[in-house]
Amino acid sequence: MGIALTAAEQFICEPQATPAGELDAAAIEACQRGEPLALRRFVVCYQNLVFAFVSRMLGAGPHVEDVAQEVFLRAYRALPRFEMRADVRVSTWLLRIAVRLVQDTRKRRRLRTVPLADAPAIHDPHTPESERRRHEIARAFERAAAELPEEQRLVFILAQFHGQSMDQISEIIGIPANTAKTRLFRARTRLRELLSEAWEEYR
Amino acid sequence: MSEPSFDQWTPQRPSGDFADLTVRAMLDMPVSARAGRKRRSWFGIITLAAFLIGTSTWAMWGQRDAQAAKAVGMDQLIGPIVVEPPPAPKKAAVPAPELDEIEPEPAIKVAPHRTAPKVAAEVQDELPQIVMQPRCVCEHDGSICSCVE
Repeated sequence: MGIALTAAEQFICEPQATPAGELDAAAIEACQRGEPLALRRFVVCYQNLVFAFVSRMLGAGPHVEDVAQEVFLRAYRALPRFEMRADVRVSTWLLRIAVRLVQDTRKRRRLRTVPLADAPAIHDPHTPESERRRHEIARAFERAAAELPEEQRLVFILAQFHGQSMDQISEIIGIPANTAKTRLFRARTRLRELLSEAWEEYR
Repeated sequence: MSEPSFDQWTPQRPSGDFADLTVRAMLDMPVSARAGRKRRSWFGIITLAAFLIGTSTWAMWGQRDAQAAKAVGMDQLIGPIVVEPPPAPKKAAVPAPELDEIEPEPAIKVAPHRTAPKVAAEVQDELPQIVMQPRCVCEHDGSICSCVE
């Protein structure tokens, strides 16, 4: 019943996507010119990525949509400065924007989160029973993740769910790669401890 | 004990109209909010900052020059400071020619009251006690003089 986001789910960019699942240079240039269709493709391509990151960092709730939209608006403002290079991934650039915005948001206000069951979700074909279980497990994850220090949670989410390497995480957050590796190890260890009981109960 | 699968942590998904709403918000954004304009506004800020720094530096140097000029003026007013040696003490001895003018007389014959006015006129501005060596010693008012042969 694995329903985690796959690469294909995260990047719905075909046919203008690169092999890595990113928009290509021509699509980005069209966005830089402000073409509405290109901009829509840009948002559709990366919205799952941004929602996944923001909701896991801040917890599900109505604020996720606001923060995600702000990520795209900031990206749009910064697009004229964005240079498409072989070593630059649009997703990494977007995640860097999202990380800063999430950190700002956490500093600015206390967020009112809601259980994932009440959060808006794309229709999925699971039966009501499997759906209930899925939400329970997701809530258990949210509770466990809330126990982690923020810096550990950030590294864990970027590495586990967004496929970012230690070097990329180091660049996004601005910490040494070894520090990122240590934080990831501690986060995984702690999450396994916190989730083992819940996992036994729900499986 | 089985391991939890982290993939079970499902995220919140966007609503169906999220992309359209977001693109609309982008297109409604004022052009000045985009990076191109922003860079120009940064250019303006940097220019303004450079102007302010330049003028304040200029003012600072001007003030410093004014203070320096004032200091020179004071020097000119006061004039150079010259350390002079302390005045040498005046010698008590009366110059020899003056001494020669006083004709020594036998001590017994010369009455003090008769010679005093003459001696007093000669040593008027001298020290209180004038020793006129080797021959005469007078009081300051010249009333008493004693001379030694």
